[in-house]
Amino acid sequence: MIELSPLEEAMASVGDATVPDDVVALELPDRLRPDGSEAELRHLILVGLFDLLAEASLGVLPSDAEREALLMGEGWLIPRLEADVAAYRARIDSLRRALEAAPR
Amino acid sequence: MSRVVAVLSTDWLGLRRACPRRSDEELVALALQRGRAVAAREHRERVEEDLPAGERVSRLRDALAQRVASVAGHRFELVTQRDRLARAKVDERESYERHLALHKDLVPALKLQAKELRAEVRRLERECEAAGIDPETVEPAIDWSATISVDGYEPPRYGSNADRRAAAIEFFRRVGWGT
Repeated sequence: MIELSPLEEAMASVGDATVPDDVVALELPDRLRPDGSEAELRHLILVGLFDLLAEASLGVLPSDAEREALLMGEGWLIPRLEADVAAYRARIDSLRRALEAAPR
Repeated sequence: MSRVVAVLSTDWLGLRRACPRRSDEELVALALQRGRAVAAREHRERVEEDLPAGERVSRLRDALAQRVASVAGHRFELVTQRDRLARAKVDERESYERHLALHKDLVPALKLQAKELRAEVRRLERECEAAGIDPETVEPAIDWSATISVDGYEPPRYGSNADRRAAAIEFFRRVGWGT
């Protein structure tokens, strides 16, 4: 089981359009002068949201090299796909063995 | 009157889990301030190799936050307009999926490999059933819901950034976003 950081979790699922359509209505403080359209403000909040996730995820990594790897995408996608591929291969091997052992 | 902005619960809960000690009010203010700060900094698609490591990390972080936010914004539109988009044609859905794949800059070789292996697993399961073997009794099983879905994956075939941009614009024009 691969432990994903908050940023990796978000990046791994951000393309999933099957998530529930529940929304949270965020009230923006007047002191921050929230000007612009709702779409523009939502974009800024999402940029900030993912930057905060990056901060939480990068802070626990010991080196810039590891931080860079995470930000380049190597930190979540390749291990996830490699884990999937390994699971498929193990399943294929066992299914083939079962077929070979089956009476004909 | 205060401004209210909606985001998907999925996105907000991810932040809440990562920052459990902060209140919603603090997180909203912090996210907006951070978003403005990141957006105000110069953004380049490419981060130079010869920059100091810390500076590279900082620039990559800015670029990533903007790129993922862009995908999340598209997802918000799609998910909250799902009923309308459900009426869209199949090719439009596929265009959207290609659009997301391009934004996420995925790794085609591994995805194609995973896709082929998934198909092989399913073929062998059918073969087992035909041979009188219950595939569910064969271990290890696969938790399909925990895998990355690649069944419909085709590698991007756009030749240039201009082609990508044109395809994305054409897709959004057809589904009526931004109108």
